[in-house]
Amino acid sequence: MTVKKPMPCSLYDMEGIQNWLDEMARQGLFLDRIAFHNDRFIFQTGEPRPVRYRLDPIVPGYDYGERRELYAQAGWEFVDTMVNLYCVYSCADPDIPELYSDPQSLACAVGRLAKRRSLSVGLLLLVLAFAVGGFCFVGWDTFLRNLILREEPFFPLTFLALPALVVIGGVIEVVYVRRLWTVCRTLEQSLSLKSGRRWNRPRFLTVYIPIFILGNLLINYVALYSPETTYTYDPAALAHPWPTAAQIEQTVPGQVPEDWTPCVDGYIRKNASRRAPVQEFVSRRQTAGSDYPYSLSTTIRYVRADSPKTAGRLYRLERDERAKRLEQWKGPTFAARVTDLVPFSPRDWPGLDRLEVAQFRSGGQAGWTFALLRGNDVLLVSYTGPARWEGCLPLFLEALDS
Amino acid sequence: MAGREKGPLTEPMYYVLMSFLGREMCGTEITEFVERRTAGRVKLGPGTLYTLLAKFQDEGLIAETSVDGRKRTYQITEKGREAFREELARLRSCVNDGDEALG
Repeated sequence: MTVKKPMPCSLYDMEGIQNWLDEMARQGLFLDRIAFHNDRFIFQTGEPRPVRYRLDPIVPGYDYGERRELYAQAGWEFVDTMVNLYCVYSCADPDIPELYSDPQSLACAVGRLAKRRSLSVGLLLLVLAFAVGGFCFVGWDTFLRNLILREEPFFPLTFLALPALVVIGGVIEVVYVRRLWTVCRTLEQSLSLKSGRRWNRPRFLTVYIPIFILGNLLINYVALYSPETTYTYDPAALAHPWPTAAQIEQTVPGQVPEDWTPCVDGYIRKNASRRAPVQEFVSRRQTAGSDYPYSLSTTIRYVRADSPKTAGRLYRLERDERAKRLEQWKGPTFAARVTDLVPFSPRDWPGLDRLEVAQFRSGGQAGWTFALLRGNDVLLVSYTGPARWEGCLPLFLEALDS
Repeated sequence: MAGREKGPLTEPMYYVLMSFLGREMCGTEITEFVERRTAGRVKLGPGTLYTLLAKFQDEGLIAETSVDGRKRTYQITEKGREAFREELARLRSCVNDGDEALG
């Protein structure tokens, strides 16, 4: 008959595992094999008798077949391997010498195992550090945007989850490798090893499942108590009376009729962001036709932050995001492909903390984007048409003041 | 030629190295030699023996001479002999110091 038991101690507690297996044999349970990611030990039942179980560290160059045969000649039978860390051998004859008759030689074997493990863990951590570093580098701006604007409240949580998991995993691995080195040093000093702490219930019941449940509860808590983001558009509810398309076009007199009203849409986003309580986007566009002499497009992105510091950070994020978009729109697949792009460059304008303007051509027309920062206000306006940014900017500043 | 730089040899190390002074040896022969030489006082476990053989090979104290199936035979190198001589001198010095102290 077979009996399954979870491993009751750390994988790196050599003495603890050996003592436990010896105890099992005295209770009539003899190790048959190890399964389920080395957490489940499968025993065969039999008449209780003393059997010694010993762990043989798998050192670099370990020849499984050769060792198995040579150890068998010396009276030690191979049982199974554990996670590429140890081979388990058993011996029922009490007169046969210990697998490691000398603690110094076991120290040497454990030291070689610890060195191999340190190298592989070090390499793994290095690769993970680069991967996480790359992940953070690529996603950092999106993370900051979501942290401030709360466009997707879950994003910061999921963004932090991966590095957190890697750090926790890395710390656990380092702690385990340190344990191996401690075993090595203890043996080098010819001191006897002591068994570590044993847990009465399976590790997955006491640690992994509770962590999983707590993690899920946390995510559900965030989901439940995060007010939803709502998107509405009501021109009357906009924070400022942004200049109309006709007003913008009138900066270049004689181009279009004054009552010219292109298609308008956009959103006023309401969410739980305390750091950016006002978030608006307005888009106005019109394709050239019989009534209109040219196509036009104006987009207005406005955010009011809770402090000049937050506004400064948002300004950089929004400007970079727009700069990235402009670069993308240079691609040949875009209908309104951007050409002749002059990237954002700083300009002086009285009363503004920062002003940067990018200029380009799109769909055969001139275009520009300005990004401005004034106190808590961040405003980005993109436009294609005949109007110049110098003529339009005062209209937007007037709207901001009103 | 300088011998071993990593401190004194342990008793099993000393006897394993000694076993090669007469001739080439394989694992089981070493175990038998040590048990016979020490009248059963020092018993080599197989893990200890193969760890020491790997260690001595890494340090250049012994060299593998032939492989016949699972049977590997080793011989001592000049560096190994020097390490053994150094250890012997150290042990003699220890014994002399003890004798002198006893009067």
